[in-house]
Amino acid sequence: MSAREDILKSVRRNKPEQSPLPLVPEFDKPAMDLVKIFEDNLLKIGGRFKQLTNPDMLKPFIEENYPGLRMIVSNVQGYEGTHKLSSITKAHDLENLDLAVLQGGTAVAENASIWLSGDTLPFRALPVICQHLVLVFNRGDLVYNMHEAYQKIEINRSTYGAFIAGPSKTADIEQSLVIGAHGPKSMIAVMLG
Amino acid sequence: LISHAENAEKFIADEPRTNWHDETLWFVRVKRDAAVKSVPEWETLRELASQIKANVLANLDTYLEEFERHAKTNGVIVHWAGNAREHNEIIYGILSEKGVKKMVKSKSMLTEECHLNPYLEERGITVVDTDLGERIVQLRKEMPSHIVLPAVHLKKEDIGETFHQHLGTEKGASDPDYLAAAARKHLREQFMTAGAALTGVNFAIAETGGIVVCTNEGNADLGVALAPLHIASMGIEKIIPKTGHLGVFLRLLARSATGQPSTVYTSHYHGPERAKEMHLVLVDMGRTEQLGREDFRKSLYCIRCGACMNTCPVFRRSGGHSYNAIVPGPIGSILSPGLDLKKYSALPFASTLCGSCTDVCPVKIDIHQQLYKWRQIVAKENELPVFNKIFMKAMGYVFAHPLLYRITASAGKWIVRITPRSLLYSRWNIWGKQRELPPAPKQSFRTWWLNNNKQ
Repeated sequence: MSAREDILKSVRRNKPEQSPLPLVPEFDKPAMDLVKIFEDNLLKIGGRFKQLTNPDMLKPFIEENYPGLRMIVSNVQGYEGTHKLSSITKAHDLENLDLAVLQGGTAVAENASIWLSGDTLPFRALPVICQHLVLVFNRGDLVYNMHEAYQKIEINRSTYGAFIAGPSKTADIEQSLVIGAHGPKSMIAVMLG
Repeated sequence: LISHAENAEKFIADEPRTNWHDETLWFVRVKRDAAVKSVPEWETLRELASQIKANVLANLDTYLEEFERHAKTNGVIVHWAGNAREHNEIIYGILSEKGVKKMVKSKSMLTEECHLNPYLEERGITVVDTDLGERIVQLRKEMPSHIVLPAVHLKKEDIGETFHQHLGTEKGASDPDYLAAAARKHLREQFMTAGAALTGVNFAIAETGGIVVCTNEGNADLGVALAPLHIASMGIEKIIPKTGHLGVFLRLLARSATGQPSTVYTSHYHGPERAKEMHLVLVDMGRTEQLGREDFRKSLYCIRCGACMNTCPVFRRSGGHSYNAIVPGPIGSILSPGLDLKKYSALPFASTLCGSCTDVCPVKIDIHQQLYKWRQIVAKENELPVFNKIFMKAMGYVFAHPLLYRITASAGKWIVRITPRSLLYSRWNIWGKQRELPPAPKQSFRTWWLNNNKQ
């Protein structure tokens, strides 16, 4: 308790004069098509983009792109994968997960990130322990910038939530880009609509 | 006490490597510029970020209380630590109570500042740094040389040799894909068996009591998702008031750091995953003292993007290790003297004062101004090296006495002309180490002025 009081006391003694909190204005959006911006940015960060006009096309799309994978789980309506999520009891059982197909929320064009809310995930490990990742979002949930995104999402709706932009990567060895650091080695964003 | 200049001298002894280091960091700076140009409102965002941070510092006590209240409601166990010792004791206390033998750790400069790893290792707990760059320097028993690119001082061949010794990769192998794949496999095993995961904190939101952690590799996410215990360590200045402010800072952070529009993972934690535990340690570690220093408090705005390092002509050519500080480069040179003026007295001088750091800083810290102000304090506190002290005193005396100045200047002119090179460029002439003295002019400005005015 004493460290807390000491720190707060020291802050009160040393803090500067009042300074008003600025209002964050709305910024102009580029005239370009948001889908095109999202797609361009996703390609630049090592992801792939697919637009499906009908949700029924998801299953054949996955089967065509990921043939022969042993373990696939999904929380997207209309596609079940190879293993039911309800059959998995702990995160460590996902060690050999080949592919996760997950329902995303708001998607952001300026950085090609997609919001995943923890309440849709039985395990937080799902989007990061898999070898490959497919994130699905609805065309109507695409916004331009992060300011709009934070107006739409509820960051504390669940204990966990993340913006995910592309596959995991590192450039820690001589600034050479390596896709697939600890998380997925590939990532496809599927836009429905 | 080894100065920055002495360390830098060792670094630049290998000229091709120095050039390579310089170019590597400049490449990151160029990527940053391209990313910045894609955001028309960039300057507005910088100004907003700076104003938000000013408001945070002015209300830090109430924001901290608000944050703590909400974090507790979210089920997070909150601790406060005044210094490194308290921080380390708290973390060890949590780990030993749970019987944790191995902890995975994602990037956290604060735990480096606190020297947490050696503290825990001495007490029988294995700490595995999981950021690839940090794991590389940990295996080599080195410090990170850069806060965003911890292994930027190393060539792939160096890393290949380290991995050969520690991870059993093939001797001589240096392909980045191959080495990263080996690290992935090795670290997966660590993630699967760790009893706790420690993360740093990029932003802490007062109104929700949550924290945001940014990584590209997914190491923070994977660590937290698999371990039964999550501990987050944060400096108290990481607070931001509202969720809406994340938009401002996140648009600035990754673009400034690496030129990416966003990090791959921007993860928001508002409590533990079910049946798990989440702890948060709020650390002062000299921050409230810095808050009281009017000239230097803006250094607490820092969001640790590293842009000032990538652009700094001194950092690029002397390497992060030459600063001998956990946070090196321009920002480290204004933070570190506040922690220990004696130890870090040379750092404010490790700069050309060109101001490039200030220009790229996403939160508008007046870094080069603060470097200059620290120099004044170093001189006042008598921490200048003896030679500089005597030399500066003597120069000051000469400049204050016109007749003496005239005699010295005219003598100097002759000295430069007639002194043999071996004597003129002796070890006492530090300035002449890498430079030629200018040729002595035929006449002094004063003589020229007097002559011209006569006519």
